[in-house]
Amino acid sequence: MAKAWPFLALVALALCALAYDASVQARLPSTEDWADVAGALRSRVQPHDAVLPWPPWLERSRLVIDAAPVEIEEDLAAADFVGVERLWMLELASSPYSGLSAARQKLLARGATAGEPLRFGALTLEPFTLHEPALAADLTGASLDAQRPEFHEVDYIAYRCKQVPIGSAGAPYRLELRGAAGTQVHLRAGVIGETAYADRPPVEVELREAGATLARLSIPRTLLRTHGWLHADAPVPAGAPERVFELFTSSTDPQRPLCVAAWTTR
Amino acid sequence: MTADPLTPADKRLPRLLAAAAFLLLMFTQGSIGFTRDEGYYFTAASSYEEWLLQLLHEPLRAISAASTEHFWGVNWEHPPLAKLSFALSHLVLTRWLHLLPDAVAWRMPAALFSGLLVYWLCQLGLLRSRTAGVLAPLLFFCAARPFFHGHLSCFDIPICALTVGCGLAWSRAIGVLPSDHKRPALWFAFLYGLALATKHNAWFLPPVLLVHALLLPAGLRRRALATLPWIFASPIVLFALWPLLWHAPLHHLNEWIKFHLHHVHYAWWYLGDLLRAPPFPIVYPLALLALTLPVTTVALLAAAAITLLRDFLKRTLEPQRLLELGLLGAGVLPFMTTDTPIFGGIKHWLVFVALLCPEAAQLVVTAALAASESLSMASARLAWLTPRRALQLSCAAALLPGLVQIARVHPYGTSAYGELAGDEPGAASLGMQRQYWSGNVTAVLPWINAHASRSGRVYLHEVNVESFRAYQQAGLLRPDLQYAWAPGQAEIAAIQWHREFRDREPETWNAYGTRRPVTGLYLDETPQVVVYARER
Repeated sequence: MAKAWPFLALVALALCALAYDASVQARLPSTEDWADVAGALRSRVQPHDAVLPWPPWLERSRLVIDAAPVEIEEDLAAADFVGVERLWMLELASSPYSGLSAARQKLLARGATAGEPLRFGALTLEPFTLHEPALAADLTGASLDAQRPEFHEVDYIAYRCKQVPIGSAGAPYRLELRGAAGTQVHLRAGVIGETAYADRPPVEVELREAGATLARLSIPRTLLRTHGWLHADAPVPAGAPERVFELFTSSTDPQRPLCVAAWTTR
Repeated sequence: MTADPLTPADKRLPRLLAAAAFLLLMFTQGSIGFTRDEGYYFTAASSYEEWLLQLLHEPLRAISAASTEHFWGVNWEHPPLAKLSFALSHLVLTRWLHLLPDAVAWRMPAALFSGLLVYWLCQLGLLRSRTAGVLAPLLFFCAARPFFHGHLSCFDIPICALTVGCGLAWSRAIGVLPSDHKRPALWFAFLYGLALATKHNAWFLPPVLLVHALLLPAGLRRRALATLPWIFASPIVLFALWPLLWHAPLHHLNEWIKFHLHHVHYAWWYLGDLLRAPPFPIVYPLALLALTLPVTTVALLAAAAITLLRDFLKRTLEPQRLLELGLLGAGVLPFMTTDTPIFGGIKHWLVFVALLCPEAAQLVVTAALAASESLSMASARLAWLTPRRALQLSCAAALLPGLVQIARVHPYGTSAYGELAGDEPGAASLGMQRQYWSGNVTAVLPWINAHASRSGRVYLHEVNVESFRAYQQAGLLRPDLQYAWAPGQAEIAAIQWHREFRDREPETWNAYGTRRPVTGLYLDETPQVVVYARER
């Protein structure tokens, strides 16, 4: 009998492969599933809702969903959902290696609470209320409600951020940003596109208020398995409810596209 | 290597299979998009075709330095054979006989080279058994990526075929295999010359043949070492076929070699890392094979490699199998140095797969016959498992997952992943290169043709100007449409999903004022091509 094992193993492997291929196909959503999801969202979406597809490559959602913005994020622990109060996680739960469980855990770990999931064939819509500090001022068009937002790619994610010039070391570029003070200011910045990976000097980004530095970022060349979209969060000193913030950018090698997002929260 | 004597029918088998493969590939090529590289090679072939016409009408002018530089300076970085065959095919079948459309004529030699590969793989299989002769080429082509590459006017299948052919010619020249040729050494030198004239992978063959010669038993070793110098005649073929070398040969050879020794590294997405520069993972080529091929093929190739290595270590490897081990090693090891460019999926080391197929095919045969014998002896209820049925079952098991993969993915071969990767959705989650070479754009061309305005500008992203023209020539894209270099210049943008080109999509959103696509190609839900249109 031992001589039969290679043959039996081959036949068994082929059967498993065929069954697996068939199961992957069966686990994909149908056109009706997509239509049902889009319809369900139309009747449920409220202002400050967004749709978060998971796995992040489930981008057909952009084509189908018209009731709420579709936001693609890969790192749910670090993602900023500026101006979002509720996320509808659109899940293709049974897709191979989807990492859905870990993704859900990351949302829960940042204080989100999950609502009742809705199933539409292979797709599931699961609402998460974020419970994050409310937006006080969107200084650069970073939030869901931004009028005519700009989008730029950093770390392969399309961020709502403002492309700004980089000044020279001796003459930094200065941009005035006005808005409600809130209690915390959030600064994000990164070099756009593949230029971020070029071996070039760092870009300095600084946010000041009344001459004092609130937040500062030094953006080095992005290397393999490091991030190019850098974060800085800082308290806003007590004072007037409306403020003028100053953004400065500089580098000894300034000819690069830089993207900056800044906002304050209550 | 104890095959039964071949019958006349067996001897016809390689030709029959090769012809069948040729016809199948010609029949299935129409839906495959023109890849970036094909665009360049179509342009080169057109230039070489003009030179051929000049050679016919003004031979002295054609062989002048000005003419060879002008016509053959196009795509100087790759040797001529494959492109010359595309040019000849187009000249005869399209320009003179009006039998085939342009692209089909350019692609016909690719199907011929695939047929040659089938022919030689069948011969290698027949050295083991009749069934292995049939199964070896089928095992190679029954997977979406090799099947896809078999259609393309590129160099990867041609060099794969010629490497296998050179191996067989070498074995015949040194007496490992019987030969019908009167001058087998000359035939070997000629074939190696053709390989040199096809792709630089051929540079790795001489060291393998030298080591093979040195490891042979004394009698064979002497003959092999006496045959090896014939290889110095091979460059004559390269020179004869490459008019660019007829003037300033050292300069052009130097440029050719330098181009490949200092080749740029393209970004390539692999297990969540976008690899841009060395060091690359040593196991990259093997891991990519494991993730892209059907799992049964992966298992059989792994078993074949282990069997060859085991027999090598036990010093029981016959000269022919020793050569196959050497050649397949030379096919993949250069890509495991951590600094060799790794872009292009598995196409660069397809010869590794091809040369494992005969051994893998024989393992299937051995397993089937052993199972039939032992199971029918173990129980009368299993007597139905005759050797013939066991062979049929095991061949079906070896091939069916690959056939299913082709049915699922064709014509989008560069997007294919196997069961170990979780098929295409699993590969997308693992962070694997989604596609390359832009051929998948064919899926959205009908929509573009239906919706673009008259003489509208369209941005097809990775589709180069050459392939854009080829789509128009082939009637797949409206002839009035204009090529745009950036989404902002176009009214329609077809963005191909590449990790390294993610900036193109937000650029399109900003230019068009929308993030909502109008259509797209979503292969098992994984986005491949996403189309945006300006509102009119």
